[in-house]
Amino acid sequence: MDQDHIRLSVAAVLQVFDPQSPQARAMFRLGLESSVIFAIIFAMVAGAVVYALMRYRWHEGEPDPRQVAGNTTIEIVWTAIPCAIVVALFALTARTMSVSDPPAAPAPDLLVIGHQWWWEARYPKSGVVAANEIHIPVGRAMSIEFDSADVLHEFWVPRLARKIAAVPGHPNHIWIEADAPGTYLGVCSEFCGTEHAWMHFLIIAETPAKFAEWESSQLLPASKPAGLEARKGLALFEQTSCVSCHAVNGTVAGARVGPDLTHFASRRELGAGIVENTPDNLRRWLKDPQQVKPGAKMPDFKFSGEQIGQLVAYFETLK
Amino acid sequence: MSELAAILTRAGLSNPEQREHWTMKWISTMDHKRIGILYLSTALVFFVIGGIEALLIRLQLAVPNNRLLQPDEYNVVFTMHGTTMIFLVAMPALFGLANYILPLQIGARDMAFPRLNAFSFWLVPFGGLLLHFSFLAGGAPGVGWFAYAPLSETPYSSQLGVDYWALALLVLGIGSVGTSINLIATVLTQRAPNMTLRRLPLFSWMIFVNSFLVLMALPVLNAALVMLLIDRLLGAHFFLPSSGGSAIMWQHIFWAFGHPEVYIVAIPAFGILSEVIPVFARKPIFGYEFVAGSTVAIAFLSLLVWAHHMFTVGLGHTVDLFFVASSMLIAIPTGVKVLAWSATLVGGRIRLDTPMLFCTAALLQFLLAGLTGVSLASAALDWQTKNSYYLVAHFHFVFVGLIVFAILGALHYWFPKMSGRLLSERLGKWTFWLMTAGFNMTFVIQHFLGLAGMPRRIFTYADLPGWAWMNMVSTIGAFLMAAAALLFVWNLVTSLLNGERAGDNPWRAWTLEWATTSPPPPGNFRSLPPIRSRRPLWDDANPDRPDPMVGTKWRAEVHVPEKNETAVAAFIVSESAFFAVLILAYLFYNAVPEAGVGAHSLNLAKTGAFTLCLLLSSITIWRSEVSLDRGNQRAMRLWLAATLVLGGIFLTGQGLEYGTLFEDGASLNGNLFATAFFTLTGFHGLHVCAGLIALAIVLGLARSADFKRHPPPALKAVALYWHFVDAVWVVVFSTVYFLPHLR
Repeated sequence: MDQDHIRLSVAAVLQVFDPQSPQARAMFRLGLESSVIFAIIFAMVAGAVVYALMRYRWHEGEPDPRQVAGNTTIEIVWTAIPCAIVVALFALTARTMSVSDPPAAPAPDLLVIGHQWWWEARYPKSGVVAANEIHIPVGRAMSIEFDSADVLHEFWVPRLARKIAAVPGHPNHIWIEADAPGTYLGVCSEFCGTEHAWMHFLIIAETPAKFAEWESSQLLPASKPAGLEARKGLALFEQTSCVSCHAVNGTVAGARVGPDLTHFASRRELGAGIVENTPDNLRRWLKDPQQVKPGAKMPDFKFSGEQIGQLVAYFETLK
Repeated sequence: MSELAAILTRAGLSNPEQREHWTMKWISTMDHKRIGILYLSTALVFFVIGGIEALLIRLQLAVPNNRLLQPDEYNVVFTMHGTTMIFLVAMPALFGLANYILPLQIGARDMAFPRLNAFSFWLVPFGGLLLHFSFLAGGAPGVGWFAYAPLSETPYSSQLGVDYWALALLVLGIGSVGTSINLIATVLTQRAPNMTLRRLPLFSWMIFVNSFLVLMALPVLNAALVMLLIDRLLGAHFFLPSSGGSAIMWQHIFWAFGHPEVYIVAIPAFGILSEVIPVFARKPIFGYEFVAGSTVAIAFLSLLVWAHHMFTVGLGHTVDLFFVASSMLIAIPTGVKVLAWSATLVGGRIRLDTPMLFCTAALLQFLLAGLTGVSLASAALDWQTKNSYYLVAHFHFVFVGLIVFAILGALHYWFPKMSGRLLSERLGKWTFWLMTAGFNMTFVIQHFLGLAGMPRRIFTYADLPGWAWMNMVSTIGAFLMAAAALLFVWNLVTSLLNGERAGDNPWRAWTLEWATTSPPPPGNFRSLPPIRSRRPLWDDANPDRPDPMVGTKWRAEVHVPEKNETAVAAFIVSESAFFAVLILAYLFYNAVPEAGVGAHSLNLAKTGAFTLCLLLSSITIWRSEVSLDRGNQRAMRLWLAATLVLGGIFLTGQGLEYGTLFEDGASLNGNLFATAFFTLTGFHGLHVCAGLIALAIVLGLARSADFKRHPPPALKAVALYWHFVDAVWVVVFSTVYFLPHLR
């Protein structure tokens, strides 16, 4: 997944403790501040309880102790102290919310749509349509609008941004940004049915120049394949029911049910994170998607070995 | 079978000399103690089922990329685990304890309504069977215990599992409301003389407050379930965004029930801690009034915090901040409780017997759960931690760390009272330490899994740094807990057979349940000690230093309300909550007029006339009551008949209105107006029908000689209900018919 970022440190494991954007850093800071408060409260109360348990143990033959039924002053004091703590935490929370989640932009840079079980990313300003791998330029906050094609989903990149639900019929917005180039893992965190576990996505942060390059390459239609196998693959793709769900720019395929495949071969992962995107894994997928990702919406088309070879050859040309 | 009968005989639970077969005695029982034990046993059975599901979850997650369970199997397992543990374990266990202990603590002979009590109990196994029958009916539900729409709607969950789930929860919800009405009526009408509300032991006090919370929260769930079922079975679309419905509305309604539900199972646990900790510290609770009052505050606040479950849904910062504030406020009364329990320990003479061990562990674990709870109430932290294993860890610290530990404490504490025998302390301590080690091993690490980015409800996970070993630790912990549970069951069985005799009061406790034999005889008490404080048995044992008297007079003049009217009043509270949801839903779905039939299609004048009939019927039934009070039974019957006729005219009018709408092409599965309109007025109509049936029964009974000699209080109770049905209609009429004309 996040191979280039693995360091054997706390930050490598606990993603929330490794914020890589101003929005995530604000939440992390609030987390530290409140953890300190919670730790002090826990230590004091738990300490008092443990101390009392050790200090005031009953010993054989001892009579019942003095019967103290309460003390109003103490009660009022320890009602007031939590009040003050709550007010402080509320203020800290309100401050953080405005940093981590500023008001939405009038026109979003990105439209992210949750599907069972993959993510579609559209760049309305350029027209790029991507799936599961979302490229962003470093150092620029991108405004994302969320929608869902079916049920609820939830977009969570712990290192970069707040969680937000993709709700059908209820557009939501967040800002996403990354300090440094890198690949950041995201997951769907709202249960959305059978394959909720495999609804990963990657945020790929690049320098503005590389991002622009990526964006323009994504706008190119698929080139006609050169090899014979690949050409047979294209013909097969256009003749079978592949085209009733998928789109490849420059062919007859224009459906928006499944992921856009125009630049399929440039993606790192297959099946929303379940396997790496290699020709071998693609072969397994085409043989029977249900074996790789049980419950996925793509059925087993019972392709012959020869047909699979042709299709793989074609898809590998879709850089 | 005969061996089991012998065991029960030896354990004192059945008497072979009585002619009735022992199974019949248990099935037909109306004794609150037996019903309490039935509740607890049912909870134990489902605890084993839910526990096996928990182990399946942990086995599946023990290693990355596991394929032990298919994804849909896993989804069913965690859905059933959550539903079972909340509705079939926690609720029945707490109702069982309340059933057994509360009447004893207040010095009552039984619950106010023993038949209703038995009925409410039997709904639990029935609901449980209905839920589990889904396995045979083509697929158990796999949508999570809060069944978020639209995943729970037919297009995405076409099998019957969700229907069985919703029906089972409706059945269980009705049972819970029934029990709560009963508990309220019991506390208000069955207390021993001089047991004023201010002298109530804290466990009973908290059950009493909690019952009101059940009355207000469960009907909200029932309304949500009814709407979901109308969507699924009748083709409506309350929660289907693709046809104009709202996915967010389901969340609002569900959590308006769901968050109070957390407190519904937590407040009895608070009650247990407030009962056990003082007894084993040998001191009264520190600040009874604050502990009791903070319960009321928690119950009230818990109704206002639901949207903290929805911080990621996108309700906007203003709404979020309101719920941040209200949710954090709950920390204050909760903190007061934690500090009160802690302060009770200070200066005590603490005995760490098993009940106390469980309760002190519950106290410390709940302290942590409360603090992580505050972090989840902070929207900005929730944006990271929500729906992750941090949240899973948090609520298991509440449900297991507090509630299961408190229930185990309570069972060790009250088992001697229920069975007459002590549980083995040696096995009890082993259970405690295994459970505590297992529980903390399972769930402490899950906080960190959440911070590592692991979302909840995933059937498997990639081998990301740290995830595998943390999950493995958690799984091993779960098996330690299972071992502890087995040990506990072993202890129950062996102690029931061979445990040491407990005597009346093995813990030298102070509340009335310890003032009778163990187990108590039918009717509970031979005689009661004087009640002038909150600890009658302390006063009895320490005449030299009794507790200060509570209240100004020892012999309290208490007005005891009539129990049938009390029950109907409580029922009306729950019905109001139900109709409030339907009315709010109607307003929500009609905020923007749509094409087709709408409020403009309704005939204001005609329905206005029929409404007048219904209002008149409130007057006629009042006249009927007055006639009865004056002893004029003939006039009473005539006024009652007039009420029936007026109610019938109203229903006919509704029928005519429906007919016109159907001719206009309206139908329940048409537009949102029609869906909301027919649901709201239809349920009101059903209530009118129920009222008419009740009135007809009273009218029929009124002809009997028995009634003529001693008129029962039934008429007053039914009249109260009838006024309520009329009042609901006034609100419905104003909202549905009148309001559009003001725009």
